[in-house]
Amino acid sequence: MSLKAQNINFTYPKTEVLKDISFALQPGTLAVIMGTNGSGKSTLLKIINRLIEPQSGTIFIADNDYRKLTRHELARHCGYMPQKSAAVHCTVFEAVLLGRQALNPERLEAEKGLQQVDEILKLIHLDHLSDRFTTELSGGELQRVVIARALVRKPKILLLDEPTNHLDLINQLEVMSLLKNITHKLNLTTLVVTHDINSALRFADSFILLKKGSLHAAGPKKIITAKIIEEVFKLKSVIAEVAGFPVVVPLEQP
Amino acid sequence: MTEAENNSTISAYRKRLLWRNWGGLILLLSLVFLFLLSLKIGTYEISWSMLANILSGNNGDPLLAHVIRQIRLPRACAALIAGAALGCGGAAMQNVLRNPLASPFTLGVSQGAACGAAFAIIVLGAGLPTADSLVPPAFAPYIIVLAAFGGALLTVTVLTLLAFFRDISPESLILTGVALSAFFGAVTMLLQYFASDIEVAGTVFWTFGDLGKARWRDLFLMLALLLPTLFYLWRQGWSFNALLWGNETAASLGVQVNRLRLITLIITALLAAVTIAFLGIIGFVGLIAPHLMRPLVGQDYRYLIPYSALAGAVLLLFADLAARVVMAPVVLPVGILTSFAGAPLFIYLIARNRKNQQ
Repeated sequence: MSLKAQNINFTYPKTEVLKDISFALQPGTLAVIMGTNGSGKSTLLKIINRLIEPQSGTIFIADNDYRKLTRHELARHCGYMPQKSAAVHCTVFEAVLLGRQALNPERLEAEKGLQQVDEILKLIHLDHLSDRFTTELSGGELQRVVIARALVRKPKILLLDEPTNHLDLINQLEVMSLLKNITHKLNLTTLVVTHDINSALRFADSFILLKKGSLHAAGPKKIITAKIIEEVFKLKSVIAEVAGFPVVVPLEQP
Repeated sequence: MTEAENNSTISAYRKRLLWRNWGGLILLLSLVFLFLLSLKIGTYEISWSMLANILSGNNGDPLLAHVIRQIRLPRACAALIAGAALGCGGAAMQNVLRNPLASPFTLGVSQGAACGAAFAIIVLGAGLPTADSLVPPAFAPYIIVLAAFGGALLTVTVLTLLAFFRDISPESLILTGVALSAFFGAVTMLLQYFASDIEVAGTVFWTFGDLGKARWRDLFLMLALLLPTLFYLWRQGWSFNALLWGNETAASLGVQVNRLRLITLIITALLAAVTIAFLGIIGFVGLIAPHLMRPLVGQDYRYLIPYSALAGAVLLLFADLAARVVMAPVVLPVGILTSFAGAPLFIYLIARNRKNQQ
């Protein structure tokens, strides 16, 4: 499903957060939203999932204005992962099943739902933890449970707020490569807020760069140049190629 | 790979549900047993066969039949209905207020009701209707119930407004409950200070949570409110589960968060207010019942809602039996017993919460 933001404006009571943001993403794209702290990345993601309402502008999901969709319909299209998730005293299986059942409580134990959970747990390599309580998991495992829950109802759009936060290096790589794979395999439109420019350069197809609430640049990987990085992050750097991957190397102490 | 191994995640989940169902069955059986026991035990001790005869309608002794049908049966039904109402209400309140310590009693709803009752008894003269009381004697009991209901509703409104529009923390909400309790306590005392001895006695007796107060009419009204509430809460099980992960996650899963929280708060408060208005203050059942069930069903509200209702009923039936047996032939008000058992548990829960936060 295509995703299009059109002239999004959002202001908190005292500060303007987002100014006239517009962009469009096609299915099968893994896009990242980047920018300094407070540039409005998470706010933009929440607006796309309609957790907050923009003052003006709107989002089009497959060319439909999302204001015409109910909360339920929107939830069917979009899987969302918030920045922070505190564990709850329930098993991994139940936590993932919730992603599907909150939408159709009528068909409580429908066999298909259980099968879907089983599939997704195997896809994300969580099946061995299926009967463990989420309160017993490590940060990385919990993160994967939350991703699995966002994925289980097979949404066409996936919105993730810093999914690699608190993960060690191997888990960061695993999560990003998983996102890339499923985005391409299931033809999803995936939007990820991240601070890690190197893993973004390695895995993402498209970039959305925010600076003080405005869209500074948007486009494919090639737009990421030392000049753009300096403009957005106020940091001089060079982009080198290491083992076939582009890597941003900062040149000075900020 | 065999089929069983293939679906080990599903079979483990099914096994867990099976345990829960067995737990529920045991709970239900203990409820039935306690219900029958509370009909059997009392000043007139009767045998199981006599009880069966009386219940089936072919009794020999009209006096015994009267005792069972007009005294013990409404009392046991009151325990069943009030316990279920307080239990499922407590579980739902703990969810939507994100607070394991939430219950009508700890949030000051009960004290609000008591204050309302005191107002009706002392100011309106509904306790001992005389020529100069403001309400006609025939309506007096209903006026007390209505005033108690109003007091409870006032408390709930203040709490709801604070929870929604100031978005205060769970701890602050409990503290607000303490403040409201103190305020209503002060109003009640002020009223009592200027009241006659008889009126003071009236208000004090009203506050004793006592299952013997209920008449069949009251019970039907409570049941008429309990059943749809219980059904609604049970249907929202998955939504409550989603709420445990936070408002944003729940909303992203399709839950209309504010609507669910508001409706739940209003109907559970209504249920608690009606229960308190008819039976007086029965503390801690709503707090304890969900906590007793969590080791069995975890935080799964599909089960926690109905099981807390069952557990509340079991608790109250048990407490009432104890209240009738401990100092027999004196029958203690059941509210005293639930508070004796509940207060230490409340302190334990606070201590455990503190430990979890560290």
